[in-house]
Amino acid sequence: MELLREEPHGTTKAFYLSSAVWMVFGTLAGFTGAVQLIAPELLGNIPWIVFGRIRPIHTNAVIFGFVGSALIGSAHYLVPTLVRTPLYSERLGKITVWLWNLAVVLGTLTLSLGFSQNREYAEWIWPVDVIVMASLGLGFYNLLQTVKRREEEILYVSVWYIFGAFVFTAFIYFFGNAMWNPFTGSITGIPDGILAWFYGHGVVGLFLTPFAVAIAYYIIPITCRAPLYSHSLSLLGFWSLLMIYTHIGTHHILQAPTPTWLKVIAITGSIAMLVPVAAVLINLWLTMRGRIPYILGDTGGKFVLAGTVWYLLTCIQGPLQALPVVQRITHFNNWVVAHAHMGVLGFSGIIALGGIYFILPRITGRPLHSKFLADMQYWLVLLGMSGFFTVLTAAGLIQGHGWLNGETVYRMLPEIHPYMVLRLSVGILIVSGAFIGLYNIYMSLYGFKTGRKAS
Amino acid sequence: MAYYGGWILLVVLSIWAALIAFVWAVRSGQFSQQGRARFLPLIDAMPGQASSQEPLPPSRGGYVLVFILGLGAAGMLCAVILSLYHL
Ligand code: HEM
Ligand code: HEM
Repeated sequence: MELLREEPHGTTKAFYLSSAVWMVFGTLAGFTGAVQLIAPELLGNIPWIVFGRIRPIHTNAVIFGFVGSALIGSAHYLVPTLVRTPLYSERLGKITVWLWNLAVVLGTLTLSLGFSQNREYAEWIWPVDVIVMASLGLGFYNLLQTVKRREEEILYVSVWYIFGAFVFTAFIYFFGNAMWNPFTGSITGIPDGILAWFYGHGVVGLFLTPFAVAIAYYIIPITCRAPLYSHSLSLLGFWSLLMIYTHIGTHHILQAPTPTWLKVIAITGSIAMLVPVAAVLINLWLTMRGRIPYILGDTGGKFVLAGTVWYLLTCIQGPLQALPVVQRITHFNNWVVAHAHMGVLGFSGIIALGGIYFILPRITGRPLHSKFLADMQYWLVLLGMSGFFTVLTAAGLIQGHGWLNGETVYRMLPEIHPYMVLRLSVGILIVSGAFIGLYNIYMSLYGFKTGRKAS
Repeated sequence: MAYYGGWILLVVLSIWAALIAFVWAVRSGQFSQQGRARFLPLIDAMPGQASSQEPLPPSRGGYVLVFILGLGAAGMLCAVILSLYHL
C-alpha cells in the first residue's frame, strides 16, 4: 500500500511533513482565536469555530500536531542513529505516523462539532485518546526493538530522554484522560482538577520537554564539533527530571481548595525544577563554550540554540510564578498565555523546527531546498515569539495589577484591547513563518521529483 | 475517597517502571564509560562538514538572543516588583 510504503527514514519524513502541515493549520486556528478576542462578533458566531472550540483546536493542533509530530519524527531518526542500528520497522513507523495524524484530524473535527472532555489539553474525546495511545505504543515498541538489536552498547542521554518521554506520556495520557471513564474522561470534584493538572503539566514537562532536550543534546555537540561536556551530568538531569517534574502539576491550581500539603509539594518541586533545568543548560552551554558562532552558522543548530534561550527564560519564570505571592499578580491572565507560548513555541517548537532542518539533509542526502527560507522562518518565528512575550506579559501584568486594585474583569478589557490587537499583528509573523516552513520542508522532501534543483 | 485506589496504583506503577529502568541501567553498565559516551553523537557529522580547526565564522545573531534574555529578565522583574507592591 502506497501509504505504508517502506523507504529509508520514511517514518521521520512523514512525521516532518505532518508537522509542517499542522503548524500552518494550528497557527491559523490561533489566529482565528486572536481575531475573536478583538472582535468577538466579526466571524458571526459560526458554531464550529466559536472561541470555546477554536481555542482547544489551536492548542491541541500545535502541541500534538505541530510540535509533537516533529519531535516524534526526530526520535525515529535519533534512536537508530545513536544505537547504530536501522529502525526495526519502517512499516510500523508509518502506521505510527498515520495513527498520530488520524488522532489530530479526528480530535480537531470532534472539537469543532462540540465534543469535548473540557479539561485543558485533554479535550479530545475517548476514541481519539485510544488512537493516541495506540500510536504511542507502536512508536515505543518500534524503538524498543531497535534498541534491543543495537550495535552500540551505551545509550546516549538522548535515547534515555526519548524513552522517558514515551513512557511518561503514555502514563500521564492514560491516567490524565481518565481513560477508564470513556463517557466523561474525568473523575469528579477537586481530585479531578488535581488529576487534570497532573496531566496538563505532564504534557509540557514530560512529553514536549524530554523530546526537545533529547534533540538539543544531539545537535549541539555535532554543530559545535565538540563532545558533550559531561554525560554523567546529563544523566543526573534525566533522573532528577523524572523525580521532580512528575508531581508539581498542582502549581496550576494553587488558588483552588486543593490540600495544603499538595500545594507545598508543588511549590517546592517547582523550585527544585531548577536542578534538572540547570543540569541541561549548563551542560549544553559548557559544550558550546567559545563555539557559538559554529552553531549560529548551522541552520538547525541556530534554531536549537534559540530554543535553549527560551528554555532558560521559561524555566526561570516557571518557579517564580509558582510562588503564591507572585501568582496573585500573574494567575488567570495573559501572563500565563505568554509563558505557555514561550514554553511550547519558543522552547519546544523552535527546537522541533531545529531538529527538522538539521536532520532533513541527512535523511534525504540533499541540502535543504532553501537555506534562505529556513533562515527567514527562523527570524519570523523568533521575532513573533519575542513580540508575543512582550505584548502578552504586559497585558497580563496590567490585568493582574488592575484586579488586585479592585477593578472588575470587564472594566479591564478595554485596557488590554490594544495589546490583543498587537498580539494579532505579531501573530501574522508566526503564521507566515509556518507557511514558509511548509513550502520549504515539502520542497526539501519532494521538490527534486518535480524537477526543481535544490539550492 | 474512591479515587485513592487509582492514584496509589499510578504511584506504584510509576515507581516500579522507574526502578526497573534504573536497575537495568546499573546492571548493563550504562553508567560506565561516561567519557566515551560524550562522543557518541559526533559520529553523525556530515561528510564534508568543516572540522573544528577552521576559524570561527563571524556572526551577530547571538546578540539578538542576549537581547531576548534581557527582555525576559525585565518582564520577570516587573512581576516581582508588582507582587511586592501588592503585599
Ligand atoms: C506554533 C505556534 C504556537 C504555539 C505552539 C501556540 C501554543 C499555545 C498554547 C499552549 C496556548 C494555551 C495557553 C494557555 O492556556 O495558557 C495557546 C493559546 C492561544 N494562542 Fe497560541 N500558539 C502558537 C501560535 C499562535 C498564533 C500565531 C496565534 C495568533 C495570533 C496564537 C493565538 C493564541 C490564542 C488567541 C490563544 C488563547 C489565549 C487565551 O485563551 O486567552 N497562537 N497557544
Ligand atoms: C521549571 C519549569 C517550569 C515551571 C516550574 C513551570 C511553572 C508553571 C506554573 C506555575 C504555571 C501555572 C501558572 C498559573 O496558572 O498561574 C505554568 C503554566 C504553564 N506552563 Fe510552565 N513551568 C515550567 C516549564 C514549562 C515548560 C518547559 C513548558 C513548555 C514546554 C511550560 C508550559 C506551560 C504551559 C503551556 C502553561 C499554561 C497552562 C494553562 O493553560 O494554564 N512550562 N507553568
